Amino acid sequence: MDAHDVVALVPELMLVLAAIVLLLVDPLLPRDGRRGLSWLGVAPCVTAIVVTWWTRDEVATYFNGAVVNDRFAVYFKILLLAVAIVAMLLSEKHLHLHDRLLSDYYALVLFTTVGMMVMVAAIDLVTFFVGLELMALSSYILAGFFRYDSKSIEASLKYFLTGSFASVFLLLGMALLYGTTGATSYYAIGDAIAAGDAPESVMVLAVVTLLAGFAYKVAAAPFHNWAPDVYQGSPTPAAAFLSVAPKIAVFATIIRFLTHMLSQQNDIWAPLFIVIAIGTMLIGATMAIVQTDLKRMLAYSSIAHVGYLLLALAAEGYADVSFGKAAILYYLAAYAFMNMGAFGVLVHLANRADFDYSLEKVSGIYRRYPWTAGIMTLFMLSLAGIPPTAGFFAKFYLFAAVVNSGLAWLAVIGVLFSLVSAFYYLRVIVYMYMRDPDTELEELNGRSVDLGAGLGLAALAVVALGIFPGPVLDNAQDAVHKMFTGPQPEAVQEADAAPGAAVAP
Amino acid sequence: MTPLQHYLILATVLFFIGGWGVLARRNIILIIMCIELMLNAINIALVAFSNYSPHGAGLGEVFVFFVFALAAAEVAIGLAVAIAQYRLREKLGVDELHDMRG
Repeated sequence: MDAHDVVALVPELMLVLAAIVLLLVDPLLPRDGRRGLSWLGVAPCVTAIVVTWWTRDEVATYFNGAVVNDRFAVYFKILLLAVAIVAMLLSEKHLHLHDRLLSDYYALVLFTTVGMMVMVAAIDLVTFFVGLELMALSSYILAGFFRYDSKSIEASLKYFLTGSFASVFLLLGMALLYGTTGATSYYAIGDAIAAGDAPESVMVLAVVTLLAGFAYKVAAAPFHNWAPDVYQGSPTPAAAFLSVAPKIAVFATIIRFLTHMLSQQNDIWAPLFIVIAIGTMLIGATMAIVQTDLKRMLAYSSIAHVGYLLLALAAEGYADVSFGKAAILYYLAAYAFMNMGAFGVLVHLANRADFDYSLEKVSGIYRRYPWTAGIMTLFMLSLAGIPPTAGFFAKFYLFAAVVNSGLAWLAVIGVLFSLVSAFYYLRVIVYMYMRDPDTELEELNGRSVDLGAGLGLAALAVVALGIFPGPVLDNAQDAVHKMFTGPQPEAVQEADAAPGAAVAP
Repeated sequence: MTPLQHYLILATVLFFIGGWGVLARRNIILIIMCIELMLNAINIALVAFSNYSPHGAGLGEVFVFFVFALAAAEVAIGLAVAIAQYRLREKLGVDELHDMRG
């Protein structure tokens, strides 16, 4: 390790430093002098985005092959930082309203983000596991941040128990990979597997346990049960963050695992992904219909979105479509902003004292709050996949990739579930515009610059990704095609990188 | 020298005892302990792999140190949340977690 290595971690170090500063200044602040704290968290994230983008072409491995800086990592780091920024902007008003405006919250969001940035850049099992746990442990606390609210604590406990159970399975899968190959570097493991060092039976066990762990982490069926409870019970801005960011990081990890290590095992994971994807879409779409609580509805809707993403991953196992993985990357970006935006509107509506997140309570809100209703309509249309929003193009590319890999029937199933899902998104719009409110709507108390900025950013991203998908899509393509696929012979591991081994074309 | 299989059998047995405990126990503290048991089962497997692996020896032990540290952090957070739950409800069962349905 030398100074050169530390330079590679500047964005992460900035975030950690900002988090420590936030924790240190908290006791010094007067009780009502905490407004504006979020900018202490947002500013380092913006700087980190700039630094990450600046160093995007310095492709190399750092810390003896623990992390890599390639376009894939850069794409996900910037996406995760953007998600963290929007999440922090959405939070301040809500925390203040519940008298829990503490800088710990922002520090936890930053720690979670650092954990996820380590996950997407990790190319070593140990490093990945540390990043995963940093993300998971911080997010358990975020879910239980309203610790005097029994629902929040219940959400936190459920998240903790299911999450640590899932981590155990991921660790088991990684231990089996290490046991069969004697390496912890993704590339070295991939080379050992390609050389036929690993017994088939152990590989089946490793793939199945890893898949179970990942399915838990992204809330895919049959391991989805925790998600609705956790998102409903968590503080709403935390739910916005938790329903998006960890999924992005875990999907990035899944793609890295499948590309670097398990590309030969596609006969094991591809059929499993198909089964999980269909089950996930089925549960997400059908259960969302019967929900009357908007947070639970969004939770099941996010389960359905995970199903579409898994569909594309399954298709990857059957044929290498040139834009298959890029479609997943683009979908994650679109999903991030539309889902956070929808939760953000709920945060805004929660300023009303009688708002209990039920569908009834959004009846007729367009008369009193036309802007709020309008922006919610945008997010709902995008989640439903209606042009010209981001959701439409994301779904279009995703299903096109599935069709191109020769699984047209699977794409048809996906589109059918997507049609079903339109019902519960459009229902929200119908309630907002065509129902009469049961009580007189009060004025939403106070305006918040932060909340406005967060919602504005999310809406802007949804519109921009829908109308100009080009730049992000190009970056997603670069991320996949310029993925670092192994060290050169003189570099860290003894394995000589076979040219083109385990590379997506 | 004890063959690798013996260590792996011990690890498997511990893993399943822990897994059974997680699913069967209703007390949060006991569930956390069972998760720790599963982690330690994996630790045994990792150390055994490391000792018997022709190359990459020592990596497993390093991995185990990280797992130790993370497991400790995990327990700290789990117990903190459990205490918060106890303060609110004076009970520590997972059956108490039924505020949200649907």
